[in-house]
Amino acid sequence: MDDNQLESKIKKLRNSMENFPSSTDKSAIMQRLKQPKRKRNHSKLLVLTGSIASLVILALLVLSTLGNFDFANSDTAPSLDEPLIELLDVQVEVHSDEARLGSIGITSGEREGEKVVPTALSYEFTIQNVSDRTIGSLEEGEWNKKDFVYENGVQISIKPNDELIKESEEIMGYNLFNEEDRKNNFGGTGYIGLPIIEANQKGSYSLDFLLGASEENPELPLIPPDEQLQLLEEHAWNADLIVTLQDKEIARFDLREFKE
Amino acid sequence: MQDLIKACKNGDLQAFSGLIDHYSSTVERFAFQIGVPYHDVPDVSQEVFIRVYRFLYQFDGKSSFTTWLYKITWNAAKDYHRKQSSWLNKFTRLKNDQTKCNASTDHVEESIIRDEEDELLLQCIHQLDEKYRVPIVLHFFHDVPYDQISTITGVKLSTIKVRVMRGKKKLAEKLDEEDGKGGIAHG
Repeated sequence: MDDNQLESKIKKLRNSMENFPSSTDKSAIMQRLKQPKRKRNHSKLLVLTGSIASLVILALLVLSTLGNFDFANSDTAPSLDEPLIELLDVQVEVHSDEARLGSIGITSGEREGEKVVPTALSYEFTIQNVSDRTIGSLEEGEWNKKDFVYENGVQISIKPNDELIKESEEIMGYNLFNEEDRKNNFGGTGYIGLPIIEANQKGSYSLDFLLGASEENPELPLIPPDEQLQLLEEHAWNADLIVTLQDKEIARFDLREFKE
Repeated sequence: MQDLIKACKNGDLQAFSGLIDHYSSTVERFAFQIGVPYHDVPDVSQEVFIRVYRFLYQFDGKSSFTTWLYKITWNAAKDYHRKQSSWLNKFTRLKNDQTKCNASTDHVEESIIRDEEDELLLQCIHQLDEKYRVPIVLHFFHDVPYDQISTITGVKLSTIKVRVMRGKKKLAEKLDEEDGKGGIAHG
C-alpha cells in the first residue's frame, strides 16, 4: 500500500468520525466541580477494622510513604494510586558522539597529545512531574561531591534484569551496571539530570556507560565488535528505570514497554 | 476564546460549561481514536474536564489551549488504560462491560464506523505502539502541526517527524497484513 492509498483511507475514516456523537455528561462534571473534595471517613474505617490499633498502623504506613515525597503540604498531596512521575520518552543507543561524551587525552606512548573519543551505551529519558508539587530540592550543602549529584534532588538509575546482566557479562566481560565491576574494568559513567522538577514540568536525564574506544590506546580498553555492540544495544532495554528522591524510590518503569 | 478561558480561570462555572460545549467533541474523538473504547469515552472526557478546571490556573498560554487539552486527554487516557490493566478492575468490570457493550454502544460504534474498511484501519491504528499512535492521530485526524505534537508528547521535534513517518509505514504494513488475511475477524 503506498502513501496516497493510506492517506486516502485515513481521510475517509476521519470524515466518518466528523459526526462523532457527544457523550460527555456535562451535568455530572458540573456537579463534581460544585462538590467539596471528599475526605476520608475515619469512623467507617474504624467500624470496618474494628480496631484502633490497626488504624494507627495504617495511618503510620500512609504517612511514612507520603513522607518520601517531601511535599511541603501534605493535605493536598496526590493519592497513592495517582502516578507522580510519567516517563514520556526513552532513547537507548551505543554511540561515539564527541559532543556528548567528550574525549580523553592520551598522556603517554607514541600517541601522546592525541585524543580518543570513547564509545558509550547511553540512555536518555524525558520524565514529567504530573503532580501539582515541585519534586526535589536544590538547597546549599546538599551537593554530593563524590557522585556529583544533589542529595535531595531527583535522581535516576538503571536496574538491569538478569538477561541484560548476562548479556553485559558475555559482551563486555563484566556487569556494566555494577559500580564495583566498572571500577575493576576501567568502565565509567556519566550522568546529567535536573535535581528538581517543577509541578507539571518535564525533566531530561541521561546516563552514559563508557564501553571503551574503537582504536588501540593506552587510556581506554578496546570496545567489542560492532555486532556485539548492536546486541548490547538491543538488550539494553531489558531494565527498569528507577527514579529516586532522597534514596527512596518514587517511580519505576520497565523500559521494555517503551521499546520501538 | 481567550475571554472564556480567562473567565474559567476566575472560577466562572457558566463559562466553564461553555468551554465543555466547545471542546468536548475534540476530547471525545481524540480519546476514542487513541484507543479508549466508545463506552468509556464519557468517563475519560469527564476526567479531562475535571482536570482542566482544577489545573487551569497552570495554563500559562505559552502553548495553545488545544495543545494543553490534548496533553491532558492523552494523560487521562493513559490513566484509564493503567486502571483497566489492574487485575481487580478487570475482574470487577467484566460484568459491567458485557452489558454495557452489548446493549447500545456497539450500535453507536457501528454508526460512527460505517464500513469494514474504516473499522480495519481504526483497529490497526489502535494496534500501533503508543509512540506512533498518538502522533499519527494528532497529525492526520486533528491537523496538529509537528511542533505542537512535540509539545504535547514531550518528544523532540525531529523524533516526532520520524515517528509519524515510521508510524505510517507500520500502519500500511498492518493493513496489508490484515488484507492478506481477508479482513478483520467478527464475532
